[in-house]
Amino acid sequence: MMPEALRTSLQARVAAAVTPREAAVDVMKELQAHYGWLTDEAVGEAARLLGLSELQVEELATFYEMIYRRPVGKKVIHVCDSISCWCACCEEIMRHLKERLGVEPGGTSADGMFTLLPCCCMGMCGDSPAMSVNGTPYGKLTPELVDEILARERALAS
Amino acid sequence: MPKLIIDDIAVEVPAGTNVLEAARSVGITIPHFCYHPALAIAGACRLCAVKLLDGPVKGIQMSCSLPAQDGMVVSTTDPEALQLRSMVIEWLMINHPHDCPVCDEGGECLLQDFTIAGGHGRRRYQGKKRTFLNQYLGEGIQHEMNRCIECYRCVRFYQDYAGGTDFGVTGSAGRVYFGRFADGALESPFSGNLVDICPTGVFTDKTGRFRARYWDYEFAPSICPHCSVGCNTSPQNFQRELIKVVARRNDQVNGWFICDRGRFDKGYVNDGRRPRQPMIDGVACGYEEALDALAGRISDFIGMNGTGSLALVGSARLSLEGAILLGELARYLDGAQLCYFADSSLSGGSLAAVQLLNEQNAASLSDLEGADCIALLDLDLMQEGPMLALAVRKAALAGAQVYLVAAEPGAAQKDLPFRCTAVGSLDEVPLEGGGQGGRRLRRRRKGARTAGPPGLDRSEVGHAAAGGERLRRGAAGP
Repeated sequence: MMPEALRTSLQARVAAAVTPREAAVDVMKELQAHYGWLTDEAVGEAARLLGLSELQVEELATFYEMIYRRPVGKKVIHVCDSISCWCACCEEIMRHLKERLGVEPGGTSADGMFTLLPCCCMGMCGDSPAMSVNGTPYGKLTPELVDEILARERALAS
Repeated sequence: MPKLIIDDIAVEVPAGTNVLEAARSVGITIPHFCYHPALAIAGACRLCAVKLLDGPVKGIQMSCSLPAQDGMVVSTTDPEALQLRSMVIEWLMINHPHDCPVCDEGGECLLQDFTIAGGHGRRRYQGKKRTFLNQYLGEGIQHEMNRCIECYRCVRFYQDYAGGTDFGVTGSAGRVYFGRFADGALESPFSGNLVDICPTGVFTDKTGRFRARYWDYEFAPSICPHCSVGCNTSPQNFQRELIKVVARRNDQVNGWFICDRGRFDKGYVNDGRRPRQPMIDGVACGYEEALDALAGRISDFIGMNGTGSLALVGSARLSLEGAILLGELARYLDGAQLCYFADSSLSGGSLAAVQLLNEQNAASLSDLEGADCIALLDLDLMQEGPMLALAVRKAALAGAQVYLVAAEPGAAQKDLPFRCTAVGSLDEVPLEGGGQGGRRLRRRRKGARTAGPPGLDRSEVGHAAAGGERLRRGAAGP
């Protein structure tokens, strides 16, 4: 169940939108922040708030790669695999992360700390190859820098 | 009216016609998957590529989303266009399974036709195909997502055209999936059209799977017997069994679609208890013999009791031919009682409707679609004539005002695929009401329609007709 305060603030957000669908991404992000990921229950709650069907919320939720319809770790790593980062050898970065975390893309490390996901362009082509960890952008990545970032993010979490 | 040249043929089409339809008007079929005349343009499949050699636009273009313009010189056979189309086909076929022999669409599959026509006969792709888990979509439709070529026809029909909300498209890129949130029967009473509209075998008719191939069927143009709308259908018959019913296009009535009742509800036709041959006292016989026996018995009966004692009982569900022949028989047996209805209020209402409807005030479904103002009497539209609801939805989406004369507005509005305003009586329909629709209505003064339920008595039909007339004329009341 979502807390009453969250429900009230989301209702206000939907009421302020010209069409309810326009508020869908905000509602999904807030619910995801509350639950950790967008649970089936959260999809139902979003649907009721927005006056859409569960399927219509699912259509949007599964389109956006930063809405998670599966449980994720404490922090989510998005590694860009679009053209600029690909030219800058993002595949090597992805390979390194897979090795370090012991997971395939889509997986969560055994300690529950990191979920590894590929993503499309984050607009950091100038600093390619790039990734983000829980929304913090990192560019000009090398395997060594990735190790440093993982250690730093792990320390920040504990 | 733009004039253009397509494959050396001069074509003139109404403004707004796309190049694909312009070509079709002179008998040139440009291969296409996502384009459907009844749906919004998606430009998703990239198959309808043509090359424009001269005119306002040049080079390779998608003919479905390109309006015909003056001076265009179009080639559908240019090597560059041909090559692009064959590559698009190959690419669309990359993930498509080689399961035609066990696919119920086989033989009536647009993807098969255009793959062959496009010259793609040998698969070069050796990689893994993307696969999906199918969903249970109810007893009407079988789901097989692996066959999908992502043309978006199904979702454009289901949500945009028919107003359904429980079926749609999820995911993105190579993970695009057409289905529901969870397994379950499709809620839309128009879901069966997915079978017709899917260019390949993602949705097949579960009620008639694996019984026969397209070339086995006998077809006959037919009219759906389920309600009084009269949607055109094409029943598919194999060895004296009705296997499937599909929609038959008629722009005046049902357009391209039919409702699920018309498509799936056909068990009674194949019921073993249904008499399939003439019988005398329960013993099968020939037609001539049966007709002779009937004539003999009628004449014996009249001889004993007089024609006044004879009742000829038809039904509103009788075929038109049967109903006319029954009338002929009654005229021949002068004095026999003829009836088609179970009670007199039904016959009174029908008679009044027939007398009051004429060429000026009777509306076809396509008239409804173009109406500016529609008043619905207290009726369960989804029960009485589901395709009427789609026509009203089309009008409502185009800005028509829809009023529902309802005793219990909430209940009557619940399942309708369009927004409407509930009013207490027909007199409350505000003809001069504000809003854009009202202004348009005053300007055009046409296209106001009323529709009512069956079983209205004579005075109610008269009232409805008068109301309709008042709306049509744009007058302020009697």
